[in-house]
Amino acid sequence: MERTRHAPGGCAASPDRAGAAPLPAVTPPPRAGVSGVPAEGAGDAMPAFTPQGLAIDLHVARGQVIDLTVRSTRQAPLQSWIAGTTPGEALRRIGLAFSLCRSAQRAACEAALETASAATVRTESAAERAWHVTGELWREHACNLFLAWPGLLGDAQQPALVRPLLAAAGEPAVMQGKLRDLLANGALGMDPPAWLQLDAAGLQAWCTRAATATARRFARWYGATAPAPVTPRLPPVARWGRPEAKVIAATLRADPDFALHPAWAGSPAETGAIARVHAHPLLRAWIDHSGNDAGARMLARLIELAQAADAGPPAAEAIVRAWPVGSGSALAAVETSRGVLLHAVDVARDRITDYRIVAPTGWNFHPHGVLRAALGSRRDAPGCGAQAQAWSLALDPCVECTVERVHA
Amino acid sequence: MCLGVPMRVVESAGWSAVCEARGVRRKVNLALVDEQPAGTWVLVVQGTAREILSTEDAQRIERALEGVAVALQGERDLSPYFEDLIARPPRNREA
Repeated sequence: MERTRHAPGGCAASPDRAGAAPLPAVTPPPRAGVSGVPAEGAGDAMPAFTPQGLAIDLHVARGQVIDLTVRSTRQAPLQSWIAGTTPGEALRRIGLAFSLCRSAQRAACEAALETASAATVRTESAAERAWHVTGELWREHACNLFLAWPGLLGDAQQPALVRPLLAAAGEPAVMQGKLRDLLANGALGMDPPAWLQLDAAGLQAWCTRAATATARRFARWYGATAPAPVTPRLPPVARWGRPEAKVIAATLRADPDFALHPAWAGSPAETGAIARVHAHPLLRAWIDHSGNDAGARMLARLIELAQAADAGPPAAEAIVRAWPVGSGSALAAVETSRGVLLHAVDVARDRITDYRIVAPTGWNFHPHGVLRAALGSRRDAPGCGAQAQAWSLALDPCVECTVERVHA
Repeated sequence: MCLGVPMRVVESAGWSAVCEARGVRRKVNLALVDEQPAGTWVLVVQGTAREILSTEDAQRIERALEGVAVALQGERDLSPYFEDLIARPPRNREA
């Protein structure tokens, strides 16, 4: 069996690139010491934490992809560093360790702990908590659309479309105003409400007119990335209830593999912007003409940003939820840019006895999920690596990700 | 999952920098935080500096990640590794 790794830092060196849609710069795999860093020096004697990584393997035979597998290369079981602590200490540790989507992690932790132990650990009101999560969601969407995507395509990154959102963090009205300006004058080239009203012909015209760099990227991906068949979507947390929470919590306890490979009603389910706005006419128009592809996931993010610029943040109840699922047990669900984040906790006598997290990446990179459905069979091998990189960007893992071709 | 690593800028040119953490160097994108002088601490997520850190915050996060690492090796007393960073507001990353 022979492995071919896609060149980090761009696809130009990859043999998969020729004739394919222009695609991503995949970061190198996690190595000792620092997240995915090419080692140029020896680490010191202290133990170093290597974050979890994802490896996408495309199995190739006779010039075609015959299978796609997703491996998680590192796990960070929470039990070893959370169990036995007080709720307050657990919140402190999670707040320190999880620096990406920090607001969402803290909100989920606080909501789960409060619901499980009936104790107040919150540092802010429920409305403030939901707003901080929402602001973070907008920023992460912008990072994906205006930094990672052009980076993948070899275009100039657009930090000017992201930085104002970082600077405006904290004030909903201010951040909404910044977002409206950035979209109207930068990404969309037209007012967000008018853009949201485009029909299929209008969307195509917006792409082909290519008045903005964002529109040019959508034009480049129109019909260019591999479509997936329709696969299940995880319902937005606003539609969850206690029965669903109890099922998820029970499965988490019973199945040690569930946190990494979660399922909804027994099936892998995609989460994120496309699950939240899948019925929007603009997205339906894209899917009807281009397919249920990587570009559809990018468009879903842009639709959410345009909706936010138009209408402001959603209700707090649509962002952060928590349910008691037993005596001293709770499940919290939080909407993030990448999808639903779950925290499940058991508390007894003011001590954490069990703590588990299901990250959106677990749902979206399920070994039998949408990625495998899109790319797992009968794809021409020459372009498969670039297609996998496009899909990886669109699904946006919260960890470093590599793509390799494995020749049978 | 969802973890960033504090790294110190060794040298930078525009939005590209060589950063170091624990003796390991990597190329880091500074597009979000702009060019930074050598010695600046940044929080790196998937090759991109997401925010500028004070030395104190960088060391706290480093110690927390060390705490996770030693916990995975069986250490039970983690109190020296976790200090309170909860109350600190998001740092302004605008250049």
